[in-house]
Amino acid sequence: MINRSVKDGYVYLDTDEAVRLIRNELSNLIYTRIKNMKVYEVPILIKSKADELRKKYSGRYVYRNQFKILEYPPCIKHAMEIINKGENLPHSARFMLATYMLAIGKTEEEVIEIFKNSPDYNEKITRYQVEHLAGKKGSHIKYSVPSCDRLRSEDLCFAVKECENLINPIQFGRRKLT
Amino acid sequence: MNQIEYTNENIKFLKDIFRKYYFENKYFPYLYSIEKREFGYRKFDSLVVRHLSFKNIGELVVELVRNVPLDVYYSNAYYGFPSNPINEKQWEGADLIFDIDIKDLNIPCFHEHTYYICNLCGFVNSEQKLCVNCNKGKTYDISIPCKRCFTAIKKEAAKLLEFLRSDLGIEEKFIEVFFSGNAGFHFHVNDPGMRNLDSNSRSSVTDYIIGNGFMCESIGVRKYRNGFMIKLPKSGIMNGWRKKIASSFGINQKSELKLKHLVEASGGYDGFRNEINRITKKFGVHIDSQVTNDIHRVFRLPGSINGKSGLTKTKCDDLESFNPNNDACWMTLKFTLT
Repeated sequence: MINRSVKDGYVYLDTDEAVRLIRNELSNLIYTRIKNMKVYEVPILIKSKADELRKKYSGRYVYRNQFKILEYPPCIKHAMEIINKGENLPHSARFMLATYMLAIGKTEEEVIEIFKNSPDYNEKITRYQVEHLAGKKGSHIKYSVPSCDRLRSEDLCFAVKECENLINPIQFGRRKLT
Repeated sequence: MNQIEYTNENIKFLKDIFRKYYFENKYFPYLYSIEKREFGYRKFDSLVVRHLSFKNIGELVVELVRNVPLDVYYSNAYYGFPSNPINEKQWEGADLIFDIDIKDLNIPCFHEHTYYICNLCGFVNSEQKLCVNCNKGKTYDISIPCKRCFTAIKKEAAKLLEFLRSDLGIEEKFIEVFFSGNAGFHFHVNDPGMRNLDSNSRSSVTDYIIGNGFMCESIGVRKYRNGFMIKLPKSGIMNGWRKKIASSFGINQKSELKLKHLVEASGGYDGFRNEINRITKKFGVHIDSQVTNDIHRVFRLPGSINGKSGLTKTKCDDLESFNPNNDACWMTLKFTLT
């Protein structure tokens, strides 16, 4: 929104932006219509295609064994520095750090180890939080690493040149294992 | 006095004052849809109670008089079932709330009147570290803002108000400004059109108000090969942040050449980007984005006593003339703590 023309509560768009917006709305509309159809039996033709796609794309990427992280992104480095100095991190930074470490394939034990340096470290609380993020407690949803956009608005982003065009810290400094 | 004593008499004395205050409930401003809000409070022994709901102000006051909490909170969200566990509450919308706090403004005098109190022995430390008296307790901070702080924060508040009115087009009648009772102001926006914004949309709004993420491209400066090129956007540069940036450079829709010289003078694309960051910092408002972006948060109840300072969260109809030590002070007493 900050990069658009805003006045009196209206956001003015260029033509191509207007087209993109309508396209997005249309896809939402189609999606909700399909959702609301309440089809009891899916036709075989669609079902077989869907299964094929599901096989191909289902599940989250497991980063371990797929990518090799050559270097931590600057936001993670910065958070690690603060922790290693023995200073407190804000909640949002801890969230980022823990989800990132889990996403690159570290185990919960390893992640808890990182937080041991925090002045307010409490193993019970840290364990609960980390297990929660890993999707083993509470809502059983595995939390993703916050996007670069979100980190920017939380003042956790310390972008360097290599960060250009990334949308999530997880993409930083990785190389596919072949 | 450099040690606070948590004696039973002291606590009873304070509780009686709090009870008296809540008994005379005329201090509560109107709360929209009170029956859909979640309430919670912190007791004098720091125990926190949450997931409460009340049908009307009367029920709430009964609870407050009976339990005499130190701090009272309510949700900015409206729920179908406010007293259910968080996953079963059925979120129906939430007021848009902005928080500006004196401690985020980096005012030089702030440290002079901030005190760090030990949570175990009550010793008042000068620095935020382990308590030097008992070597065991952790400290929590209390600050008593001075006049200079309030002048600074009022300026910030006026800036925010301007953003809400002219950029976001929010009508005056939907904006309520509250003194938080300690060191900040809360802006409650109760516009029905804003109530359903999700966390991401709210984050766009806070980025806008803070001035986060303005790109040179939106004012027409683009990266091109090893240098830059100028191409002003079709939708113009005379609205919103584009206008703020443009007018501080003294350019308009027709000054492509002037803009080119400006970028060259500031050292190309990267230099110009730094220049823009400097301007956005100056015009942006220091709000706490996490407060606004959270759609399940609880806020201090307007009209309740702030347990940190003893002042009340008070509605400010006129920011300029508002004096917290007068207008948010419920009673003045002369007494000595035993």
